[in-house]
Parts: sequence; C-alpha cells; structure tokens
Amino acid sequence: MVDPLLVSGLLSASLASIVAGLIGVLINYTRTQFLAIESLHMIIAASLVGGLVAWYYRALPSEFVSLITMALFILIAVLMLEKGFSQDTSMGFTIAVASMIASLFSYYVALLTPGGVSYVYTVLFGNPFLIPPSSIASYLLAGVLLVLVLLFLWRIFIYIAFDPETFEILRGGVRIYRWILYMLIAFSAIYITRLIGAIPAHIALMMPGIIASRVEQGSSYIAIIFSFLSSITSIVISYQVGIPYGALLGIISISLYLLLLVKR
Amino acid sequence: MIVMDHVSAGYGDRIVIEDITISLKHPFFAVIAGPNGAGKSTMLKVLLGIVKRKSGSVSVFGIDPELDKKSIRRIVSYMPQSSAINLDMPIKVKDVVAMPIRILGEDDESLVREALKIVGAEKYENEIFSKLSGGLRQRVLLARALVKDAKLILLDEPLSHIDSKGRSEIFSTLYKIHEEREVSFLIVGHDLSVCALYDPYLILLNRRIVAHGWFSEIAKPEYLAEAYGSVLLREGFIVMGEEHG
Repeated sequence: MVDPLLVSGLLSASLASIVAGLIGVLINYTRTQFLAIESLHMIIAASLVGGLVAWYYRALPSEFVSLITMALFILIAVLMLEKGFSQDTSMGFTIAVASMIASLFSYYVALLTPGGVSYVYTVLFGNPFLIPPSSIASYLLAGVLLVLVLLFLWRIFIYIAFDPETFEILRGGVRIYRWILYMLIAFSAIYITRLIGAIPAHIALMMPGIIASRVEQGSSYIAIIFSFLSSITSIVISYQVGIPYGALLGIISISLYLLLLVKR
Repeated sequence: MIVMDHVSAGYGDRIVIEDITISLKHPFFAVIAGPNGAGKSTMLKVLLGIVKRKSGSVSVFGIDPELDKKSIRRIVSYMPQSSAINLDMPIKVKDVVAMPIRILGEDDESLVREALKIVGAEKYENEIFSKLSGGLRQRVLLARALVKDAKLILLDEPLSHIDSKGRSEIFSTLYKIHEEREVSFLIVGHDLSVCALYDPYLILLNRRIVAHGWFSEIAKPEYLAEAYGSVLLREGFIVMGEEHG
C-alpha cells in the first residue's frame, strides 16, 4: 500500500510540473519572465492578506479576499502603464508594493493567527504532500482546462512573440491576446503556487524553458519532460530523505543547467 | 488601383509623411526610395491601415484600409523590416513562411514549399529560423510575403543583408511574379542599382514626395539630390547623401 502522503505529493507535483513546463516555455519565448515573477509576488501578498482578513472576518472567504487583492495589484500596474510608465517600471513598482504588503501581513499572520507561522510557510514553500485527495480532482480539472486553453492559443502566442506587427496586420487583436497571455501566466502562477508554494514556483516556471533552449532550441517537449521528471524525482527524494521539495527542485534544475554549460 | 490623396501621417504628435498624393494603376511595380527617416515604412503602414492618417484619404482597390482591415488582409501581403522581428525566436522556417496562411485559417504545405523555392531557400524548410544567416532570414521573410495569394505585396527593405548577386536574382524573381501573376509590388529600398534593368515606377520620398515617375526619368542627379540632401557625381557614379545604391 503506497503512503497517501506520497500519492498526494506525486499528483500535486505532476500537475504543477505539466502546467509549469508548458507556461514556462511560453514565458521564455515571449520574454515575460519579469511578469511571471511579478505574478508570484502578488500571489504571496494576496494570499497573506486573504489569510489575515479571513481570520478576522470569518464571513469573508480567504480566496475571495486574495482575488480582490490580486485585482488591485493588477490595477496598479495597468494604471501606471496607461499613464505612460514603462512596463519595467510598472511591474517593478507593483512588485515593491506587493513585497511591502507581504512583509507586513506575514508578520501579523504569523503573530496573531493560530497556525499562522505554518500558513506563511505553506504560502511560501507549499506542502504538496498535504494536498487533500478531495482537492486533487479539482486541481486536475483546473489543470486540464489551463493546458487546453494554452494549447489552443499556443500558435497565436508564438506568432505574436515572433512578429507582432505582421500578426496585427493579418488578424489584429495583438493587445487583447497579450492580455490573455498575461492572465494565463497569472492563473498558472496561482495554480502552481497552490500546489507547490510560491518560492518553488519561481524555479518551476523559469528553469524548464531555460534548460530546453540549452539542449535544443525550440523544443517545448524537452521543457515539459524535464519539468515533469525533475518534479517527480524531487518529490520522491523529498519523501525519502526529508529535504524540502523546493530545494531539491532547485538543486536538480541548477545542477543540470551547469552541467549543460560545462558540456558545451 | 492605389490612391493616396493629400495624406499626412505620423506617430503621436510627430508628422512623418506630409501631403502625399499619388495614384498607381494595378498591376504596378513600384519602388519607394529616400533617406533614413523619410517616411517610407510609414507610407506602407498607412496603406495597411496600421498607422492612422492625420489627414487625407487612401483607397486600396476601392477599400479604405482604416475602415475595412478585414478586406485588406485578404488582398495585401506585407514583409516588415527584419528589425521589427524577434530574431531569437526558436521557430522553424516552414512555420515562419506558413504564418499568413495559417492565421487566415488555411494551411497548405505545398504553398510553403513553393514560396521557399521562389526565394531559393527550399532546403532550409526544417531549420530553426534564428540559426540562419542574415541573408537567408531575409529570403525566408520574403517567402512569407509571397506565400499568400495577394493582389498587392508591400515589401519593406527586402534586399537588406543580401549580397549583390542575390539582390539581382530576387529582384528579377519579384518582377517575374509581377508580370506572370499580375501582382502589384510596392518595394521600399535603398539599392537603386538593381532597379535599372526593370525600369520600375520610382517614388522619391523625403517626408513629401520629391518626384515620381519611371525610373529612367526620375533617377537623375537633380531629383536624387533633392531627396537625399546631397549627391556626388564621381567618375560616372552617383553617390547619394546617405545610404545609396
């Protein structure tokens, strides 16, 4: 009989890795790494705000508060863009605001709420072994939907990243598709964070695309396979040895990348 | 027929082209030449409807490109300057060339192969675009402009990064397509030497139209000097103020 904790861990890591591998390739191609990082920082802050507010006002679900907080962060970035600030400035400022809120709320969540320290740790570093089996089905459905949407729009995103001007001439709607891509990156970041935590999500989103481009330029399959195998390996070792999953994911990814650099 | 009537256009508050009036009867083979910043690319983009006019009217086969982009998409093909493209993108050559037809909902590998054959790049079909030399990339982008069945093909500096032999071959191919398929070409270019053999319709532009007419009538020192700012006649060669052919 397989330990249910390991089963949860394997399923959570697998789901996160497939979505991360796919969106990570797009992030690499479309040069939206900064946006992906910004999303993760907003998610951290939003989760902590949601946690604290929901503890004080029991009637308010934490997810609802988190979503509103995320929307406010996005609004800050959008307003700055509309006012003519550059993309880097808008995102950088929003990251600073999100980090400030995360610092503030993590302190009070840890200090004032029962299980607060554990909650903060879970937001940051996740705990894939403790995802309840009842939630796995929902995550599976959400993951399938995300993957289907990404695959459906994949070619459009690639063409816009390659030549947005010609795409605008041929079909139009470049701006709208870019916003859809940004939303998908944000949703994927939320999805991955829920499963494996925000800090490991940084690794999951960045490394597969980087490694795939090192091995064979243009191979999305390599990115997804790498993401999946490294996640499974990390979960199994983490379960056996007790080292955090995120750390192992980083060790495996970085080691492989350094090996590829040396080999070339 | 392509008609531009007292057209001014630009970006934000900056006017790039001013009071442009020209009409070209289909099928035409025309070249727009002028110094950097003259508004050559802007003129193409006004015909596509992606740069809004400040004043004047434009008609492309009876269609206003700002009002009916969908119809323009079907009949006009475009090759941008290579600087507008993400050249590091890991995308295959055949996917680059197929872009216009796939976006329009068609996907025909034979059209892709034929377009690549026209530009002499058929053996690079499965190569990664970013791994090709500058000249080959340019040929692939040209193939992309030719893959679709268009009435008007707008090419923005299609011969850049291509050696002189290649330029002659490609220009000859474009002229042949124009004659055989009755396709109109409007080409932005600097290299006027390749034009001489074909006597295209020449539009000299420097914010305004300096002169327009057949190459043999217009490619003269007095017009070129006005367009480019300076001309040096040396041992039978004309050397123009900026980049020159």
